[in-house]
Amino acid sequence: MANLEAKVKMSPWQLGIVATSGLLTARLLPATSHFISYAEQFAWLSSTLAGLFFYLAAYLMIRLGEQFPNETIGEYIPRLLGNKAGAAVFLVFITVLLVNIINCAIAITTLSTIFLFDRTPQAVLIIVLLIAVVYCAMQEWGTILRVIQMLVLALPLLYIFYSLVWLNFEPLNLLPLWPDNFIGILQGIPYHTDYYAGYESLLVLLPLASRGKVSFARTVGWGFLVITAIYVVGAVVLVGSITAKTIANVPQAVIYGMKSIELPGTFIERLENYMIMFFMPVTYISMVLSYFAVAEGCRKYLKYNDHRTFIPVFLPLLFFVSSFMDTPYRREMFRDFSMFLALFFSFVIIPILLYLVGRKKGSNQQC
Amino acid sequence: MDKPQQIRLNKLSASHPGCSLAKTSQTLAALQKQVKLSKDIETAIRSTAKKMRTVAAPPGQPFLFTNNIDINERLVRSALIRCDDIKYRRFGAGKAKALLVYLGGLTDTNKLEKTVIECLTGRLESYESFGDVNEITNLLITAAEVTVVAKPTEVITNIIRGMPLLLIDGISDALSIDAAKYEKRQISKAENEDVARGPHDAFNETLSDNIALVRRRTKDPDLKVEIFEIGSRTQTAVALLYVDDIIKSGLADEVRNQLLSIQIDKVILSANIEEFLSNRVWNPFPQVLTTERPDKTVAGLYEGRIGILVDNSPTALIFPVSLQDFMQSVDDYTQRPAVVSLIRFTRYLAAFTAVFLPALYVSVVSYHPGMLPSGLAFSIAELRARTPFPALLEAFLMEGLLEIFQEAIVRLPQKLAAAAGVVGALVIGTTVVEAALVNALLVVVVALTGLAVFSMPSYTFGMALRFFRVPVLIAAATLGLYGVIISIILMIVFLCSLRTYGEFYLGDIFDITLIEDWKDGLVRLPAKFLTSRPKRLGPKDRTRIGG
Repeated sequence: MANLEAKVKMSPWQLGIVATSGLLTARLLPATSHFISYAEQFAWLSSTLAGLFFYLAAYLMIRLGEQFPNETIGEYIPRLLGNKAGAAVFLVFITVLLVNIINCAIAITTLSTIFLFDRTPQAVLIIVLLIAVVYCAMQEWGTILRVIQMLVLALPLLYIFYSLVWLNFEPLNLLPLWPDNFIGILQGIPYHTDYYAGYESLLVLLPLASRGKVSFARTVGWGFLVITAIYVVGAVVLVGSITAKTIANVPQAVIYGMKSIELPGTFIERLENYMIMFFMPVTYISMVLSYFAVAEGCRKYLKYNDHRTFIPVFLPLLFFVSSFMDTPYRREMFRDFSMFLALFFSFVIIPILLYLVGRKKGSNQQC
Repeated sequence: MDKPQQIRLNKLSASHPGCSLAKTSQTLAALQKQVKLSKDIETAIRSTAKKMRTVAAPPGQPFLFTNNIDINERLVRSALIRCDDIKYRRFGAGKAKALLVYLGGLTDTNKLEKTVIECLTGRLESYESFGDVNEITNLLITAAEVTVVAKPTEVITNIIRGMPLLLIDGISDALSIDAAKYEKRQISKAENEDVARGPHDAFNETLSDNIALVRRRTKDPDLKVEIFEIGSRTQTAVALLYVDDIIKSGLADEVRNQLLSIQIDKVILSANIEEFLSNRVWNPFPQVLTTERPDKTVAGLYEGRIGILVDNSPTALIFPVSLQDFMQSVDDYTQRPAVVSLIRFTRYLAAFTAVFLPALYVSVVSYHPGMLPSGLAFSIAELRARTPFPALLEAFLMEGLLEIFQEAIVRLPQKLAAAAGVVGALVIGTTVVEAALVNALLVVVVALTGLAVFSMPSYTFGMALRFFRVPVLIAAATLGLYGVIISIILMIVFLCSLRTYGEFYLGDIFDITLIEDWKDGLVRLPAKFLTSRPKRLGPKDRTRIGG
């Protein structure tokens, strides 16, 4: 049946929603205690600065993408760096996204294993989740865009649920008000990688957006602003509820905060289970987005017709690595590795690429 | 005194040798041989006659009409052999002989008598003869529509349709007369889509009546009606309706081409056409809206949709449609907008309940009882302790019973259905619980899902929801809430992947590029705000009010 109107392009505002809806995932749960152990009760300040810091990375990527309209990183990188260096950078890009998928899978299934199924092997949950992700990533972009717009509704619901933590809020826990540990605040910023991972997919998504009156930097900026506001308020309420010291000493601080809520006379109990339920769709969005970006990037790089060719290729790798991270030590190591890799890509490789583009454009318009 | 006659019992064959079993079998075998031989002869004669006719006939035609009425009659009779419902009426028309061939039961014989036979016999003296065929059609016959048909295949088809054939000796042209008449159901109340307020007339099985019902509601010359014949054998009339200056460019052409490309021998139901219009045949969700209401059809046409009416089918097909179209009823536009918005929200909740409630029950009871308040958790545990089965089996048992009763009630006559409902309620509600096969809470859960399906305005959409209940139940039994959430996500992905003529099946639901359409979707705003037609359907003229 003829498709009378192929809907594969998104508006700038849709790009803003898509690019930032994949940021908030279950990955942030284990990372919370890390950055709060540095920033302590000034976590809100650290989160604010982290928002600016990671938006800067996203902005650089948008700038880079705008130099090559209608092209993904896989297409222009060999021209920019040559075949070998281009392949290496493309590999790093793909790895960053695959690592995000693995981290998301580990985070949500660990959470489910701990709080929902203490006797079910984590690998079972991982494979089920990955198959669901593969099913969505196999669709064409119009469908994925539609799915994201549907599932992103879980985000406000999640936040509303999380807002129940306000019931335990104690303003005294936020004291002192004036920060005295600026180094700690700054040290906490890189640990927000888990809070903002996934924006790297912009390098593939930009050509899928139609240029309108509003710039991409602005729509993505609004998305970052909303997400950062959620994190900042979330940090304030969490520290105010269970203190920075407690957060630094428990592995799943947000869930711990939810568990401490008591709603007398209500029908629902075990609020953390509901929290996990809402975390699943938002984490799923990030995984699908990253998976699609990997497959679409490979398609463009290797000049294939269909991104679906690459979807099953990565499934065994993703499953094997995710299942291998079955101890807290391995997970910790992997998280550190992914953090350094993502920061290296965003703040070393991308600026270098931008510099090269600027230099080439200066000397020769044909880039 | 007479001596009593002695009765002797012998075989019949003893007194009549011709009646012996062997002789009878022999005779029967000979008879069978004769019958077979005569059949072979008949077949041989027919094939020879066919070959002989083929020689004289143009390609693709079984024969060619001659100007000899006797030969013509023989040709028509041979073409319509073993069709005992075909009537042949010979009469004199002036000097010439005439023959009417018509289908009994599908022809208005009174009309035929008045407009053909009386005209030809009464207006001509026995010595008068015809000039040519034009004289007959223009001056003699008073029937509203008389056509000269050259092709014998067309003549035969017209006879089958109820249009009598008139043959006159000395003229090699055949005349088809419009005198079709057949029994039909009168226009009556909608049986499946009743409304509290609003018109009650519904489509019947006659295409012309159905088109008239649509036309009566609008005087718009831009409402186009194109009629095709589909089905190589049934040649069923199918009408394509659309409003030319509203419908999305290219959509009518696309559908027309699709209809014309349908290769099928028979079209008995509108569903035969529907299946050819759906791009994913294994998809349980309906991709075409069916309605028996002309008002709903007209409303659909003026939103930029296509309507299809099929002869002998009392339902119209409307498309492209999206999920929210299956959640709307005509009553939504006769009630107050605030009330309607609430009702629509309830329907969406019911749709969710219809698919996911048993799964949520099984997952919470089997894996996460801690999510329930202690009192409720204990009382459920107590109820479940009385039944021997795990929650999944209990749920399957109840689902099975529910499906059986639903099917029974749908298939039974109305009076018996009520009785079956009572039996079902007693069996499910009381006996099964008392027999400790399932617990009472599960009965409540399954009954709620059943009611939720019934609350759907579209029966076919409700059926699709029923279809998904079992896989979701299995996911819940295997992976608890994790499985339920994965099922919800997969179902969303599946629904997002569905499209009809380029339109997303989920329509404008949470699509920010179609925010203008949200005013008549999940909620309905008052009429004064519904100033434009749905953007998602891409109408040429978007203005509905004003402009």
